[in-house]
Amino acid sequence: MENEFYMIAGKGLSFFGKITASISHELKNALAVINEKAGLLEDFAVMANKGTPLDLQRMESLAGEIIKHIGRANDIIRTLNVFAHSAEEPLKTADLTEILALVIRLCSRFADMKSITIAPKIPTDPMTIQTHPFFAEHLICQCLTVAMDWVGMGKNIEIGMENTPDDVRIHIFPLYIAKQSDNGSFPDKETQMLANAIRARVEQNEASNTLSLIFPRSIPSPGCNPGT
Amino acid sequence: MKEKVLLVDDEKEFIEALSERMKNRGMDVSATTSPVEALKMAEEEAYDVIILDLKMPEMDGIEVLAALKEKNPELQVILLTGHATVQKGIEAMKLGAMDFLEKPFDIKDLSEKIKKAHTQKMIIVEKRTQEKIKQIIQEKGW
Repeated sequence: MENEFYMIAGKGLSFFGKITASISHELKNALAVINEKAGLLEDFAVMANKGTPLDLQRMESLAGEIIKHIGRANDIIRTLNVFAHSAEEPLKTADLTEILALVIRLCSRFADMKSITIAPKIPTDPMTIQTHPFFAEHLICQCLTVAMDWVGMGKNIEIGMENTPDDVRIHIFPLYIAKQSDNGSFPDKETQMLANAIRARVEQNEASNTLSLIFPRSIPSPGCNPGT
Repeated sequence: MKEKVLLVDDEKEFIEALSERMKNRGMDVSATTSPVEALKMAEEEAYDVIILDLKMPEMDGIEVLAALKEKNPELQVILLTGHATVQKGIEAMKLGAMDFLEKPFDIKDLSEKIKKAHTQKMIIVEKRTQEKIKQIIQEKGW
C-alpha cells in the first residue's frame, strides 16, 4: 500500500513536470513573437532616424499585436496558476466541468503536436464532486493522452459529460478500442492506482468506442494511504 | 552577396515578423509553417542556411533535420529551441545542426550565426569547385 502511494506521488511529480515544461514552451513561443514584433518597432525607429518615413498605421497595428500576445502569455500563466494551486488541497468539493476544461487547456499543446482536434461538449451548469483536484487532473490527462495515441495523428476526439445520481462521468470518443490490444490493456496498473486513489473508475465500451471516467460524488478523506 | 535563408516554424506571426526584420538587414528570406513544405523548398532552392524550430506539429524538428541532412549533408541548419542547454546543444550538433538558439533571441546573435553559415557554405562551394578543376586537369592530362 505504501509502495502504491509513493508510486502515485512519483508519477504525480512526473505529470507536474511534464505539464509545467509544456506551459513554459508555450510561454516561450508567445515571448518570441512579442520579441520580434517589438524588434520591428525598434527597426522602424532606427530607419526613421535615417530618414525613412514612419508608417504610423503599421506601428499602431504592431502595437495592437504585441498587446494581443501579452494577453496570450497572461492566459498561459493564469492556466499555470490554476494548475499549481490545484495541488494544494488534498480533498475539496470541485466542479468537474472546470477540472476538465483545465486539463483540455493543459493538453492542448500535446494535441497540437499530433494535429489532433479535441472537441469538448462541456455543460455550462456545474457538476460538483468531492475529489483531490490534482489527482483528478492527472487521471483525465492520462486517459486523454492514451486516447490521442489510439486515434493517431490528424484525427478528432470528442469529450462529453454525464450526470448520474451517484457519479459524474467523462466520455472520450470515438476511439478505436481494437487498437489498444496492440499496446496492452488499459487502464494499466499505474492508471488503475491513480483512479483507486480518488475512488474513480476507467472503463472502455467497445461497442460505442468510448473511454469513460467515472467520478463518485463523494469520497472519504485520503489520509496517508490513498486507495484504502 | 545576400544570404539566402529559409525559416521554418509553426508560429506564423513569429516567422512573419522575423522574416521582415531579416529582409530589413539585407537577407533573402523564405518562410514556411509546414515542415513538409520546407523539405520540398530545400530540394528546389539552394539555401545558405535553414532556421528550424525544434518542436512542431506535423513533423518534429529533429526528423526534419535528419531528412534535410540525408538529402544534403553539407546543408547548414540552425535549430531554434525553447530551452537551450549544453546537453541539447551537443545533441543538436551530433544530429548535424550547425548551431542552436534559445527563443526569444537577439536578432544580432541570429545574424552572426547566419553570416557564419554563409561563409561556411562559400568555403564548401569553393572546395568543390577546386576539386572539380583538379579532376578535369587530371582527366585531360594537362
